[in-house]
Amino acid sequence: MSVDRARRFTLPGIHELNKDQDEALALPVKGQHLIIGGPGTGKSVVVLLRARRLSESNKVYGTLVYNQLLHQSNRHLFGQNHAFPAMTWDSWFRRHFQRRLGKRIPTLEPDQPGGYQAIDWNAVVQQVQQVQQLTDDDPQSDKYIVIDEGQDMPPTFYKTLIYLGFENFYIAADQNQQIHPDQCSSRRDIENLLAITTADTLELKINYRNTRPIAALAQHFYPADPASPKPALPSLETSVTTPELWTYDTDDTVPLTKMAENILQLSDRNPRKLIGIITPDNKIRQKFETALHQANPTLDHGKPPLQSFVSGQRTPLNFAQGGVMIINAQSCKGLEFDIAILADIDQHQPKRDLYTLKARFYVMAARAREQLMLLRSGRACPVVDGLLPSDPALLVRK
Amino acid sequence: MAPKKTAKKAAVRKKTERIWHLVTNHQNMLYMLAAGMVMEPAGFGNKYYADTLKDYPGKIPLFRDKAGIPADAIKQSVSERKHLLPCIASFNVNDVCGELTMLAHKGKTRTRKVKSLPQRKGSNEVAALIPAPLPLSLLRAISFRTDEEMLAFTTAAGDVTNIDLSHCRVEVSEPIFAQVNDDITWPQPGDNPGLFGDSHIPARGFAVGGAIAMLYHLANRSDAGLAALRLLTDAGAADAGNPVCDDPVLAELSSWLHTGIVSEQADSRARLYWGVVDSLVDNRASGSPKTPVDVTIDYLQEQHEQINDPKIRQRLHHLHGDIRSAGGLGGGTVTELLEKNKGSLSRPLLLFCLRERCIDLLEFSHPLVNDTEVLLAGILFGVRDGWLQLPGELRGKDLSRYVSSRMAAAEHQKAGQLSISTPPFPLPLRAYFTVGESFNHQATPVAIDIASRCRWHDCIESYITLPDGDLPATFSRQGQQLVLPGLITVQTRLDEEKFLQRLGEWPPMPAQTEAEARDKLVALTAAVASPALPELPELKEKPDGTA
Repeated sequence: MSVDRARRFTLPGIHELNKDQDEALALPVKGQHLIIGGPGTGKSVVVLLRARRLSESNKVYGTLVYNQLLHQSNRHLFGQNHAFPAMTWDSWFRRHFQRRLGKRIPTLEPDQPGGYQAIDWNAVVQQVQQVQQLTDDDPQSDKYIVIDEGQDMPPTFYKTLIYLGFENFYIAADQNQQIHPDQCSSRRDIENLLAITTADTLELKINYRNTRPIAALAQHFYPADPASPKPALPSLETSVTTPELWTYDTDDTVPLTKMAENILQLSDRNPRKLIGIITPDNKIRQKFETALHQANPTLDHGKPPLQSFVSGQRTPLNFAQGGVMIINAQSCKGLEFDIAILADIDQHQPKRDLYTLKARFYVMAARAREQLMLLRSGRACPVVDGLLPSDPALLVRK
Repeated sequence: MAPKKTAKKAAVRKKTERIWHLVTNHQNMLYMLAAGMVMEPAGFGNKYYADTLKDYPGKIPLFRDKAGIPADAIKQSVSERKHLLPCIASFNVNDVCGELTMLAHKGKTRTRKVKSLPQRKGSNEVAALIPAPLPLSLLRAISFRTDEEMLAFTTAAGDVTNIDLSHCRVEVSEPIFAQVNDDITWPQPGDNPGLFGDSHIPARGFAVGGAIAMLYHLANRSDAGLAALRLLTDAGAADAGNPVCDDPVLAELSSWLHTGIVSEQADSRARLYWGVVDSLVDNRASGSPKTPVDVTIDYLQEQHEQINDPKIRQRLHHLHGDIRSAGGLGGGTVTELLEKNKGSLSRPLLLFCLRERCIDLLEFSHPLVNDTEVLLAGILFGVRDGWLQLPGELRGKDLSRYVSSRMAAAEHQKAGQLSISTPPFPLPLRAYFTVGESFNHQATPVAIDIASRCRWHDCIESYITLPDGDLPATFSRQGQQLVLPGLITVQTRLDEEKFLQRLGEWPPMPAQTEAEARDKLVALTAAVASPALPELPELKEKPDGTA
């Protein structure tokens, strides 16, 4: 049977936007705006709707995200019918700097020969400040910058944009989801740099993405930073999709081959849904990739598309179709899957830093919109087991 | 000459609209446009922003045109959040009759039964309080103070999927806002025991609206769909050899639509199916946070424990287990699940739990699932989403007006406080192309035009008759053209079966193509007065819900 696996972009219904989101969407077009919220509170939704509005009113704007995966995911969510001038903040800034200052951006020495050359922000700030007056036939004050996951850009980035004449910012951020805490901006950093009073920062407080059981499990891992409010649990209750913990590859459980078959059949029953398998490292990512390629269960629609992502990969991922996507935990932040499977949870590191480990589980669990499954292989790990809730209302052991 | 004059006078009188105004804010207005009704605050879920609807639960305060609107009513409507904008919705209440309460300056109320809202209000009266809900089919215009405020409203409407402003008149109206008067007080509710109750969620209205919309869209798919749709406006059709009655579960549709309950002779499968439907309605009415799939599973579990018939018990047991496992890492393929769970009770329920949105079902087809099972699944999907959640592509202008009045009528069915006329029912296209189980050949040219414009090439075959004489063995081709010698004749034939199949597919043809085809079909119907088209008469419902 042929099947359409297209994941269509759909705007939210009026009933799906809450009052805080209404207010965030009603913010004036001009000015500096900061929206703070935890995972699933709908930050990306308001960012994308803002970008759509700017696009429809023919404003010159750009949407910036932290990494390529988020960029690819947002492109899908934005819809195919609109031009979406979005890019990663790093590549956008490099180009912008060169165009405005007429020289290459200063960079740091790479960690290894041929490695990534990070932007030298101190040098950038110095060079921008030294320029007395930028020759500006192209004023930035009538341009609009929309930023998702704004906590992941350093304060110097915002500082430089102000120097460069940008005045209109719409930023969504969550301090509890910083990728590299030492290089990120806090809520206060952004407020101070953009002269936004704390009272004017909007907080999205209600979880919008996940079902209540998924949100409840994610909250079990909440690392608690008061700068970003802990999202209130969504109201919708379900027992059918309570997160599940499955063990495989032991004497009395199914082997990996059977687990792979079950995952493929789950995808086959839901051809438009994107299943994200989030792995602790490349080794386990490859293990699942191989198992899924080799598995050959009865399927109505043939094998679903299998995609895999490794850091630095140039081939873009396709978030516009259902199927199975395997990615490492480090790449999953900000993404959203219809169903998320956290593979081999016993293998996550660092086991000596429980705060970081919990934060990682918090981010991973919050990726799932409708269903969340945790898998552990035969090697039980007391540290990870200790993090898991014992309450079956939060996690059903299968 | 005299009769002519009378007719003209009557026509003029009919055109005069009685306009009354609702004061609200732009966010509530958006929500009501999606809901298709002016509702009590509970109907807005967690999205209600305080406005004039909050003061008199169960009633909708309307201000008569050109008689003054209290400034406090405007202030109250934008008091909750700083981004709210005042908005006045104007309704033509000509065809509304029933129980009306007039609200006086000091909050005193007086209730009376009227045939329609009065042209004039008493000097001491501030507003009329109409029993909620009121259908948006009566909406005439939405007014704002300034261009900027109107733009903010239309922009916000563009952010969401379930509002289509092309059906409404949205304008900046200084004259309407000039009626706002600081000297008129907006009285808070007085001591009126029994008159006002708790705010109520119009759950049955939403469910009826969702079910009608799904039946409308599924009607293009099969004769059974068209027959089921007839039950909306023709309660008697259920008894007159309607194929819908062949299935014991679907046979109860008419009873559910018109009375809200199944008939006494309904068999146990029908009772189970409609029991699920009622559980979904009750769940929404109670504001419960349970998901519809959980409601279904819990209901089936409860019934499994009570039911005596061992066959049905066993079926329920399997169905319950399969629904639970299908959401996770077990359960097999959809084909395997459908093979295990057969019949017009199990399969619709299974589909209901396997797919989430109405459009998912409209796109779904499987050789094991028959038309009746799809229709029953469609009703469940429509009830689950209700009219409120349906996206724009499932709401046509005429369907919206019809559904809106049917939802309000369903809500007023029990209390019988209000009667509203129902707009004409929009026929699905299939109704124009079929005569009973045959194709309506008078509509063939329109069908060919549709098939051609939609590039449904598999539906059309062209037969070319060449002239007599010596003809070459092969013919040359120039791009899309075939070069033939002599004068030829071309005959186009429609594969009717394939055309009807295409007509029932989702996504449907472009709206513009459908509108133009519909115009031609309506003109054709008027010209030949085809007796073949199903009669879907305008239904005037009495306050008690009987037709």
